[in-house]
Amino acid sequence: MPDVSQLVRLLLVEHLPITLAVVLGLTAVYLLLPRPRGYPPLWGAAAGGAALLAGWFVIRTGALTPETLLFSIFSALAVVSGTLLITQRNPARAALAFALVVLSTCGLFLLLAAPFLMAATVIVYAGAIVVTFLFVIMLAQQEGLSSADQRSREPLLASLAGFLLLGTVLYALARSYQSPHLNDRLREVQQFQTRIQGLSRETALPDERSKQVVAELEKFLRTFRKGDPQKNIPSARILGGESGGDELADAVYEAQDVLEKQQFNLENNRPVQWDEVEQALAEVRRVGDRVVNRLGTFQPRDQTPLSGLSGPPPNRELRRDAAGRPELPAENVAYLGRSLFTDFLIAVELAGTLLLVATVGAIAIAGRRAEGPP
Amino acid sequence: MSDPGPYLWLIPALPLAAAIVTGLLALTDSPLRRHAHWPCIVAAIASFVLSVLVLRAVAELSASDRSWITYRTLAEATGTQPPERAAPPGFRKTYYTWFETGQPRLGFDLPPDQVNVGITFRADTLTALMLVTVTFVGSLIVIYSAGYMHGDEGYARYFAEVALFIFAMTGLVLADNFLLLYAFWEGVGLCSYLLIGFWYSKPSAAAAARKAFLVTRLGDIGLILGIILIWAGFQKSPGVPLNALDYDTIFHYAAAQPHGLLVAACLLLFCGAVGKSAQFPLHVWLPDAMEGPTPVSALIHAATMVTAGVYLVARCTPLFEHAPEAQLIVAGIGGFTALLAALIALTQNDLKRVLAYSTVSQLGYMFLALGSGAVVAGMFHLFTHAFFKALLFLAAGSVMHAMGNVIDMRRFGGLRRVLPVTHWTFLCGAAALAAVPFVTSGFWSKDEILAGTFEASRQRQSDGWVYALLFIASLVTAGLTAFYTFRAYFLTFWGEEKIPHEAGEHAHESPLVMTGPLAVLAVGAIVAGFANPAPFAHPLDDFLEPSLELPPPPVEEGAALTERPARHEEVNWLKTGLLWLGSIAFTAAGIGGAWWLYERQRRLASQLAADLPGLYQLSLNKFYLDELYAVFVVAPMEALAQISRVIDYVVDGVVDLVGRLPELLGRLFRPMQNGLVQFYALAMALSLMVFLLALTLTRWF
Amino acid sequence: MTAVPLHHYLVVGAVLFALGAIGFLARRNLIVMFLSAEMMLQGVAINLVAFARFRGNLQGQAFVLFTLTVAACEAAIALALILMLYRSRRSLDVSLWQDLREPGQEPTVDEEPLPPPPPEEPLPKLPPAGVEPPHPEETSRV
Repeated sequence: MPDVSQLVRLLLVEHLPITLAVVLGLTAVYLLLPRPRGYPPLWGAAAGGAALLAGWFVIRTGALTPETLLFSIFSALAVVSGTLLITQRNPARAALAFALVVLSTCGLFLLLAAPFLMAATVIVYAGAIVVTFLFVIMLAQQEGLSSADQRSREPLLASLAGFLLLGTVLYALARSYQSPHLNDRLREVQQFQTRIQGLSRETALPDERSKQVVAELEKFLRTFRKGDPQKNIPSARILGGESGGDELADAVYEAQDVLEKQQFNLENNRPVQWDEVEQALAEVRRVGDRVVNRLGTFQPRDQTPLSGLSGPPPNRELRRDAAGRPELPAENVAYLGRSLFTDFLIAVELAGTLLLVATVGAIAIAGRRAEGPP
Repeated sequence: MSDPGPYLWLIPALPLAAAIVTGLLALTDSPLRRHAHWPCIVAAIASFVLSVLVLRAVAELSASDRSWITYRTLAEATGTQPPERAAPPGFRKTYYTWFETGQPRLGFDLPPDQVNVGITFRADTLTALMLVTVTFVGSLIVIYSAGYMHGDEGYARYFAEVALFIFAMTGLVLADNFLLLYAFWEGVGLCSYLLIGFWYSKPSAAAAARKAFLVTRLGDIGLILGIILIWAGFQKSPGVPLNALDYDTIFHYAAAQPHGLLVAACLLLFCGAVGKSAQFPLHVWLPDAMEGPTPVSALIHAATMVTAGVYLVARCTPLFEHAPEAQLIVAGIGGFTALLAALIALTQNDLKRVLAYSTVSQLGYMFLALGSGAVVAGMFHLFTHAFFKALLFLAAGSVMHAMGNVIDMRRFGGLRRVLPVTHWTFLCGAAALAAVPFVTSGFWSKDEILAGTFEASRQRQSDGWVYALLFIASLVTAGLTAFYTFRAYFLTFWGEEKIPHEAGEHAHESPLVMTGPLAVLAVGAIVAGFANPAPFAHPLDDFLEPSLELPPPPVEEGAALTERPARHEEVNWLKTGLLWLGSIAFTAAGIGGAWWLYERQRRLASQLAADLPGLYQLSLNKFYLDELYAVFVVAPMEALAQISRVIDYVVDGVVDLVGRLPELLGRLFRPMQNGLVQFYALAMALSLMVFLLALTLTRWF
Repeated sequence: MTAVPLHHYLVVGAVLFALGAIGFLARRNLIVMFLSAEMMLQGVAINLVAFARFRGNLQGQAFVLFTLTVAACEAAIALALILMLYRSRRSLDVSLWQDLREPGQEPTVDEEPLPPPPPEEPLPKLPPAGVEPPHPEETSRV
C-alpha cells in the first residue's frame, strides 16, 4: 500500500510546481477544448497562463543567461502553440499553430547543437507538410467550420489521460534528474569560494575572520561528506549515487584534507594558504557539476558497433565544457553526414526506398475516384 | 483331407460384398435396382456351395482322425485327465489380429496380462452343419424373396439387409472366440431389427422392431457379462493363458474351474440365448416380429437367427456339462416355454402368429434337449426345424401373396383348390411340425428329444423328477403342436372356399420363383429326418460328437485306440417302442382333434371357446404376458424416466445458466465496442495510465 | 556557467507529447488529429536530440532524421487516405466511420445540439429609385 501521507507530502510540498502545473494545465485544456456550449475562452486562457507560470518554476534554473532565456522563450512558445493547436476550432489555424510548434522546436534544436536537424525540420514540416495540410483543408472545408470541429470526443477523459501521463513523466524526471540537496551543497561551496576570494589577499596572517571561515568550512565539509541524519541530509556518496558518488566523496575528502593542513597552520600562527583551499573547493564544484550533469544517464555499453564518427567510444571519458556538458564537434553537420553515410548507410537507403514507395502509394491512393456517395 | 482355410473366409465375405453392392445400389435410383436380387442370390448360393465343401472336408477329417476321441475315451477309462491339451478335430485359421491389449505385468515370473483376439474362423462339424443349414435355407429364401418382394419400394434395401444378415449369421457360427461371436451376435440382432422394421412407415412394424431390439438386448447384456465373467474368472486358475477367449482353451480348462463360476457363466450365456431364441420370459418379441416381410420371418425368425441361442448353448456344451444346475434351468425353461407357446398357439387367428408361437415352442424343445444332455437331438431338431418351419412360413407367405396380404385365418378357407402347390407343401411342413410318424423329419428329431428327456429323468438322481415332469409336458406339447398345426391347416385349406376381397377377382397360385423353393423345402422337410433316424443309424451323432466334446460311448478294455470306437449300445426296443407309441398317440390325438373340431364340426370349436371363456381368453391373449410387462416393467421405467427428466431439466438449467453467464457479461461490455477509433485509443491511453501509475506508485512508496 | 540541464528539455518534450496525445484523443477532425500526432513526434524528437547532446554523440540526431523521413512518408500517405475518406463521406469527421462496432449496437450520435449560427447581418437595402427615403424627424433645433 502506498503511504498516503508521504504521497501527499511529495505532491503538495516537494513537487508542488509539478502538481500545480499539471492540474492547471488540465483545467486549461479541458476548458479550452471545443464543444457546442463551451466555457468562455478567457477562463481557459487564465488557467493556461497560471499553468505556464507553474511550469516555469518546474524548469527554473535560477540563472539568467542567454541560453536559459532562449530556452524559456522557445519552450513557452512551443507549449502555448501546442495548446492552441489542440484547442483551435478552425483546422487552418490549427495547422498554423502546428507550424509555430515546429518553429519553436527548431529553436530548441539549435540550442541543442543540431543545426542540420533544425533546417531539415523547418523545410520538411513547416515547409512541406503544413502546406500540404493547408491545401487539404482548403479542398475539404470550403464551407467553413464543420460540426466535427465544434465537438470533442470525451474531453475530460482525454485530458485526464494526457495530463496523468504528463504528471507521471514529470515526477519521474524530477526524481531522476533533480538533485536539490546537491544543488544546495554546490551553491554553498560557491558562497564559500566568494568569501575566500574576499579574504585571501588581505592578510597573510590568520585573523578572527579567517578562523571563523575555516571553522564553518570544516563543519560544512564534514556535513557534506557524512550527511546529517537529523536534518535528513544524505551523505556525498549517496547524493552522487551512480553518477559519481565516489568521486564526489573523494573530492570532498581531499578538500577536508587541505583544510586540516590549514587548521594546523592556524594553530601554529602561520598564514593560511587560501589558494590551495580554493583549488580544492573548485575541484569539489567541478566534480559536483559533472555529477549533476550526469544524473539519470545510463552508462553506455562498452562495445557498440558504431564507428568513431557517430561519437566517441562509450568507454572514453568525454571532453566537457565549462558547464560539464560533453562537447560536440564544432562542425557537427559534417559529422552527422559522415555518421549517416558510414554507420547508418543501410538505414539511409531504406529510408529513401520508403520515401519512393510512399510517393507511389500516395499517388495511387489519392488518384482513385470516389466510390461512396458523392 | 483338404484344408478349407483358403476359402473359409469367403463364406461370410461373399454375402457381405453382396450387401455392400446392393446397399450402394439402394442409395441410387438407377433402374438396376429392379435386379438387386442377383448379387444376393449369387452370393448366397456360392456360400452354400462353399459350405458344402467345408462340410465334406470336415466329414473327411472327422472320419480319418479319431485320435482325439480315443484319447479322451482312454483318459476317461483310466480315470486320468489328458496330460496335455488336445483339441477336437477341426480347422481354424486366424485371418487378422483384431486387437491386442495389455502390457507385461510388473515382475519377472508373471505372464503378460493381455488379450489377443483375432478374426479367427473355425470349421468343425457343428459349424459345418450350421453353415449348410443357414446358407441352404438362406439361398432358397432369397430366391423366394425375389418373387415375394417384387415391386416393393425398398427392393434393393431388402436384399442388402438380407445379405448382411447371411454375412452376420455365417460369421456367428464360424467365429472361434467368444468376442467375435458376440460381434456377429449383435450383427444378426441389428439385421433382425432392420428387417422387422423394413416397412418402417407402418407404426406397428416400427414398434415391433424396437421391441425386438430392446428385448433381445436384455439377453445380450447377460451374454456379454457371461463372456467377461469367463475371461476374468478363468484366468484366476493356474495354467490358464490370460488371453484365453477362444473356445478350445476355455473348454479345456472348464473342468478345473470352481463350480459356482461355471454355473454363473453358463446361466449368463443362457441369458443371451433366451433373448435371441425367444424363450420365456423374453419370448414376447418373436410374435410381434412377424410384422416384417414373411421371407424374413422364415429366414431370421424361424430357421436361422433364433437358433443362434441353441447353437451357443450347444457350442458351450463342454461348459454346461460341468454345470448340471444350469442344464436343469435350461431344460426347465425350454420345456415350460414349449408348453406355454403351444397353449397360446391354440387360439391364435393369425396364421403367421400361430407359426411364430410354434417356433417359440419348438425352440423350447431344442433347449429342453440341450438341458437334458441330448445335445445332438437338439441340434438335429434345429436342423429339421429349419426346413419345415421355413417351409411353413414360405407357404404362409404364398397364401398371403394370393390373399392380398390378408393373414387372418377366419377370413379365408378352402384354399386347396386355389393354391394346390402351396397346399401340398404346407401339408408336408405341417406334417413335419406335427411329427407324423416315420415319414417326416419332425418325427425323428422330436422323438430323439423325448427319448433324451426320458433318459435324463432316469439317469439324474436328485432332479430326475423335474425331467420326468418335463417329459410329460413335452408329450402334451407334442399333442398340442399337432392340434394347432392342423387347426391352421384345416382352417386355411379345407372347408368352404372363402377368399377375402383384398385378393381381388383372381386369387392364383404364386409364381415358380416362389413355389420352387417351397417344393425343395418340402422335400427337405420329409427327408432331413433321415440324417439321424435313431435308433436305426446314428450318422449325425458320430458326426457331431467330436465338436461337442460329448462323452463318447465307452470302449472296451484293450481295444485298439487308433480305431474308431464302435457304438455298441444295445437298442432297447421296448423302451423305444413305448416312446414311439406315446408320441404317436399324442400326435394322432392332436391331428384327430383338429380334424374333428375344424373340419367335421366347425361349430363345435366356437362352442367350446364359448363354454370355456376364461381359458380361451387366457390363451387368446397370450396369458396376458404383454400386459404384465406393461404394468411391471414398462410403467416403472416410464416413471423413472419422468423423474430423470425432471432431474435432467434441473441439471440442464444449471448448465444453461453457466453458459448464459459469459453471454450476460459480454452484453455488459458490448457497448464498449462502438466502432469509434478515438474511443479505442482513449481506452488504450487510460489503461496505459492505470498501468503506469500502479508501476510508479509501487516503485516509489 | 549554469546551462540548461537535460531534464528541462525532457520536460518540454513530455509536455508536447502529452498535448499531442490529448489532441489525438479529443479532436474529431481527421487533419487536426493528424497534426496532433505529428506534435507527439516533435516531443519525441526533442527528447532524442537532447539525449544526443548530453551523451556527446550524434546517434540521436541520426535517429531523428529517420523519424523525419518516416513522418514525411506517413504524412503523404495519410493525406491521400484522408482525401479518400473525405470523398466517400464529404466530411472529415472521424466519428462517421464507426462500422467496426458490434453487430446490433446502435451507432453513436452526438446528443448535444450545436448552438444556432449567429444571425447574419442584414444587408443594407436601397430604396426604390425616385422615392425619397423617409427622414427621421430632426429632434434638435438649433
